[in-house]
Amino acid sequence: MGRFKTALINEIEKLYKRKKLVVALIISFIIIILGQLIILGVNRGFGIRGVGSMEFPMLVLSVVVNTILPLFTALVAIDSFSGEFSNNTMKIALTRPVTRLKFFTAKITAILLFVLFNLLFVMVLSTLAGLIFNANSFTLRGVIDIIVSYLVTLLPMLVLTLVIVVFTNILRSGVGVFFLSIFVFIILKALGMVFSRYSGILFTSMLDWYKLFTISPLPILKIANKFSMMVGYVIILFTTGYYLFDKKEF
Amino acid sequence: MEKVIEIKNLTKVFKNGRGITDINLDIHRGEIFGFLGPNGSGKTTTMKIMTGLMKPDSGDVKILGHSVLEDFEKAMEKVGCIIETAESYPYLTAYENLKQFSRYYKNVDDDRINEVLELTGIIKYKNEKPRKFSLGMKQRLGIAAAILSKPEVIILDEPLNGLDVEGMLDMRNLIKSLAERENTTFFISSHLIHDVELTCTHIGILYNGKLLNVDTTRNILNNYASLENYFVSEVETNGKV
Amino acid sequence: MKLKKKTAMLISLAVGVFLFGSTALAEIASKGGYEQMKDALKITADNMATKMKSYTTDMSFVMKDNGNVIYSDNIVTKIDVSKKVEEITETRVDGNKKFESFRYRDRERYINYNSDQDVYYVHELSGSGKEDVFLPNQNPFKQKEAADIERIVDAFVGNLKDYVVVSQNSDGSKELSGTLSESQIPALVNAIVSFQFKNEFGYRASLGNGIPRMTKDIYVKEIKGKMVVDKNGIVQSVLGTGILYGKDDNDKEHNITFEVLGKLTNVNSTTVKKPDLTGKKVEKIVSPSENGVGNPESYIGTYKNNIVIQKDGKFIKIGERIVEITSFDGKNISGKYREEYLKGYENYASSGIKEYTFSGPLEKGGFGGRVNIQDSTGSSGMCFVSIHPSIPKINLNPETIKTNMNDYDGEFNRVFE
Repeated sequence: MGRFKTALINEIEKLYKRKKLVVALIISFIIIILGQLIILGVNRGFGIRGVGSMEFPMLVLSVVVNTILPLFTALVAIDSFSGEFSNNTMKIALTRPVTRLKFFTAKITAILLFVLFNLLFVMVLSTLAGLIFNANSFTLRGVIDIIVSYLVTLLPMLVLTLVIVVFTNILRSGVGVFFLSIFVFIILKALGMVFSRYSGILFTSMLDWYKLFTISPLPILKIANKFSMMVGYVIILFTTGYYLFDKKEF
Repeated sequence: MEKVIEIKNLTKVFKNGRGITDINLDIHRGEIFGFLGPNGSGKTTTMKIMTGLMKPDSGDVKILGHSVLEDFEKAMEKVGCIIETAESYPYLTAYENLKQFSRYYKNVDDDRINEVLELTGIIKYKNEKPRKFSLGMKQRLGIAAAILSKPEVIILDEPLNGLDVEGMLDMRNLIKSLAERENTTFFISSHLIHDVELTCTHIGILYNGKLLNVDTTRNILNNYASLENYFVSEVETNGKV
Repeated sequence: MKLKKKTAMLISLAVGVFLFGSTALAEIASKGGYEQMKDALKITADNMATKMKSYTTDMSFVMKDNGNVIYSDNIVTKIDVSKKVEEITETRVDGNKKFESFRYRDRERYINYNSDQDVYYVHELSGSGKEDVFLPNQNPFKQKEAADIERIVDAFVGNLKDYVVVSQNSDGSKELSGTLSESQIPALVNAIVSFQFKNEFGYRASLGNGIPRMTKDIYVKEIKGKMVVDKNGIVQSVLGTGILYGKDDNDKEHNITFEVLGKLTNVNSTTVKKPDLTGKKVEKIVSPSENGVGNPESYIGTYKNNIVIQKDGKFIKIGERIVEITSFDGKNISGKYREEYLKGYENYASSGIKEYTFSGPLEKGGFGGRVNIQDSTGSSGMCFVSIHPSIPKINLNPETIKTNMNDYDGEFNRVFE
């Protein structure tokens, strides 16, 4: 476990030093502020409330989870794998006394922590913005909904991360992976719309699964089903990704 | 003498037919082993397998008694290496780069990092990012990283690459003093015959993926006028079948 | 060791595939509440169109402001498909005004009544019109575009479909329900609905009813739906509730509740009776619409309009166009056209023809047709004649013979002597 922790700390340091996190946070910040301004404008201009203080973070989540969050996750994952493959820096850590499995897991954990941090940042900021600008419907239930919704979004993002990681281990070029990821993302979204009956099994439709947690009564069976489906995805993708990564020669 | 590196029946053939076949080699504690061979003879391939960057088709490498294939962490625990090129993360400073490695070992603190920076002569550039470094400076940083944890085994692939004359001298002295003072075992590949002759205590010649002969430098120089002559005669007798 | 790693990977892959496969299959195989709702609607529509002999539907819409009813509308429709009889009763309360209407239809007649006029209009049908009036129910899901529309709706509904909850009852019936409150309502939907509401009711000075004029902070607070489906999969009732919140100009808060309730009852046991009109104010209407013009003879007579020019910024009448219908039996029409000019304006007479006769058949069952015309010199052409079905008015528009008047007016009113 010690070596995994070391690898993880190293990965986090690298991620942090590459400034991607800062960029992601700044863009998230801008989006929240812009969103809040639009809503204020709608409120003043049309007399529509737009959103209440509790809805704003949910609105932001619904936007972020389908746009910048997957985008940044893709960028960070590509950086962490394709970037190091092509810079030849992967071997720096690989020749240290740490197994590839631990190293691979550490890399994914670091990406996941990045996603978590980004989510928490967006959550706190949008909640604050919601409270400051649309103070009218603050409830405990609302706060719990927000926290749960943001946290459970981590799971589909893990699936997404692993999909991209598998791509990075197949394609050589990071740019190629990026476009392939976007292409697959859009295609699956479109397929989900055309064959809505089957959209439930596509991972792109799971990004919104946090909405299940705001339904009352809680659809436990549905959540359990989605959860185990995503766990299935994670196991398959992780194993595939690790297999490819382990096979790689430098 | 304790065997530090054991290479057994190591074979790895690439699709283009190049590679190494059936290499057997034992290296004992305190030896400075020179791995001599022309470009493309399979030196780097061997060293990549030794450090886990590649998987062999067959055979195994044991370092300090642990198989690289089966117990990678234990095998690499007391190994420092530079393979092919000395790489560093360009967005981290020299210090941060070394700090990254240091976390894998218990006995490395900031003092030790400063010490290796001093030893390799790049302490001035401690807080600069290797993006701006020359090839020689990158090589020095790589060596600093390789010796950081006071490893018992150091595997160096062309360690003199990019170094100036002064750097080469420094490097040779560093290797020799580590071998003497710390009883460190070295596995060094090079195509620079003269340098190998001056640095190494044992020499193995790799030609076309085959290990031709292993002997001590002293024995070789007793029988041949120079290492170069030895190399040529070995290649002539064994290699060109 | 090496083998162990491979085995471990294979096992984990197998576990993953199993986990994913089984849940994915379950996901596809199990019909969620939304799918069950669609099925119920389809079965019901299909049954209504093909299998049910008679049924009663009861639709009501109620709007409340802070709990007080400000508008309500109730429509009860009784249909006997086998006998082709239908009865629709509507009661509407808008503020203080109450409005009732009634409509009855069978193969012989239809009867209209509304409380504003308080008269029962009885339309007796005749001829081929009898069968056509009663159109059988169309199954909306069998229409050509239905599949595409369904797909679009599905895509639009998206994850909202998860909100449909099913509770199964012991008698085989089930209840499908769903609640969306505040944050669960898609922001865009919320904004559009709020904006639409404000546009409809926010600006008008007076509506004559009690809908408050909300101008601030409008939003959809809650949307609820409930559908009861019997054991045969037929929808028995649908209830939809929506709450809209907002403030008016005086900052008074309003919660406007919308309730829509639909019920399907008395399947195969609905009987529709012809209303008893004795003692009621009744007006009989002979419907012309089915068989061309009713009472064609009544159209025989003289029709006129004025020939007018504009001069010195005024309209001046310079003469009259006169049409005489000499014979009309509902099919063939014939008559004369002439122009008469007032004194001093004779030179305005068109250089074309001033007089002609026309005769020909109208289109079958219609009110107009192209007929031949012939003037005194013997030159002929075509002319479009049309008869107003209920007012003594005709239109005459010659096509080929020039009247040389830019302001030719083809509409003629009956002249009563």
